[in-house]
Amino acid sequence: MRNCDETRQWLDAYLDNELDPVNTLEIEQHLQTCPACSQAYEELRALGAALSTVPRYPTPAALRERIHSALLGEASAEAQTIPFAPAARPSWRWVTALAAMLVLGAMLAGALLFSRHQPADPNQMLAREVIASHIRSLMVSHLADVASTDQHTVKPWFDGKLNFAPPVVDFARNGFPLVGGRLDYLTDGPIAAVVYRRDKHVINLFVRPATGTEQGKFPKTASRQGYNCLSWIQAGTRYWAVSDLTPAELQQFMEIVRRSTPS
Amino acid sequence: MILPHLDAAYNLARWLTGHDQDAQDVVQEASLRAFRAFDGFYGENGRAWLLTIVRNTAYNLLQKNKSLRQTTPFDEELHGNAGASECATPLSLLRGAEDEQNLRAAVEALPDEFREALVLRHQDGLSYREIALIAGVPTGTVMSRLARARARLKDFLAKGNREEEAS
Ligand SMILES: [Zn+2]
Repeated sequence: MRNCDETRQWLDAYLDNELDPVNTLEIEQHLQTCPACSQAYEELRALGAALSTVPRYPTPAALRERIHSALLGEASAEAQTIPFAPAARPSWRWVTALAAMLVLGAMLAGALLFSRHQPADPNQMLAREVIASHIRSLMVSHLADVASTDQHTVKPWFDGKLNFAPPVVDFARNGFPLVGGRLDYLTDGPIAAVVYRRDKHVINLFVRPATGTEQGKFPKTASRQGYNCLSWIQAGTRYWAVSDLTPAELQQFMEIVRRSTPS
Repeated sequence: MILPHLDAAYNLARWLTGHDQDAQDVVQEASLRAFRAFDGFYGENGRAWLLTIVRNTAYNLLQKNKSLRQTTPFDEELHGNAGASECATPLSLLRGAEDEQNLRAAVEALPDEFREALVLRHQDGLSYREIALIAGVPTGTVMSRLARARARLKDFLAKGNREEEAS
């Protein structure tokens, strides 16, 4: 038979069904014979019941939608098969079904070879992430959080949302008008996306401070699923320009951005 | 494998950060991080994995902007609401919407590691083992955190009433 102190010590675990059968039985026996412990348990049980009925904070619908879209973008970026020209855009329902299949497929594959993917080259991984982010921005018709051709509207919008101030300049007179700005996330943190257009083509210019570990030759180019990515470092800031423009056009865009920013 | 656990993820982030917008940022970042890190697969317990990432992301954020809430003295926050009930036994203390507010406020005033254990246990129904995995501590620590958290809640709710009577 347990004494009161021992019983009280295990009451919480008893309440949570975390005790083995032997200890559970001993606690039960003590509770049956001890009014004080029984009262203590009643209070604990009432508290536990009350805690369990406190409703969860409801998930905002906008967040659910945003994450749903973002994951669809991720899954599609993995698939490498979905054309993104507006005319050829697949129906939403079909995309959802495909994404579900992909996630299931990844799960089955993962069951066989479960390991964290650690790409050898961080630059490749970053390029992959910004291209995925670019595709996502086209897919979910969520190109810009702040849609404006006015750099004096877009630039202040980033204030307080990031711990750095991305340069925002309208290059309309160079043939690259500003479309807006967006906050995005890479694996290692938030990033500013400044959105431009060249005729019908969208360019996402991703900007964040360069980290000390970013080494090698710049500019770097990458290409994935018909999208080109050009990355460079200037004045302690790392840039990625992503678009379906040709590498030459992207190069031209980079030169324009570079000239506008003091080195 | 993220969407089915989104409610649990947001709820935990909301409790830990204390702010809707912070919680949304945390969940969005954590979801993408989880998806990319595991290519959509998190092993046998997807929920625990996602909640682990949510938790770590939330603590990173809290570390960055040491929130105002943490500087609020333990007793002060609750004092305004705590006396609302007439009787100090938990059963009557916790009944009804007003008491739910009390309880919610009391949980909010607890230290982070107590709060997260309570939320994971009572709102998500997780086992000690799962909570231990998420919080990165031994299961014995989970047990003692839950016991201490509940003891503090009981004291807290009872104390609010005594003070009301005294004043
Ligand atoms: Zn006893």
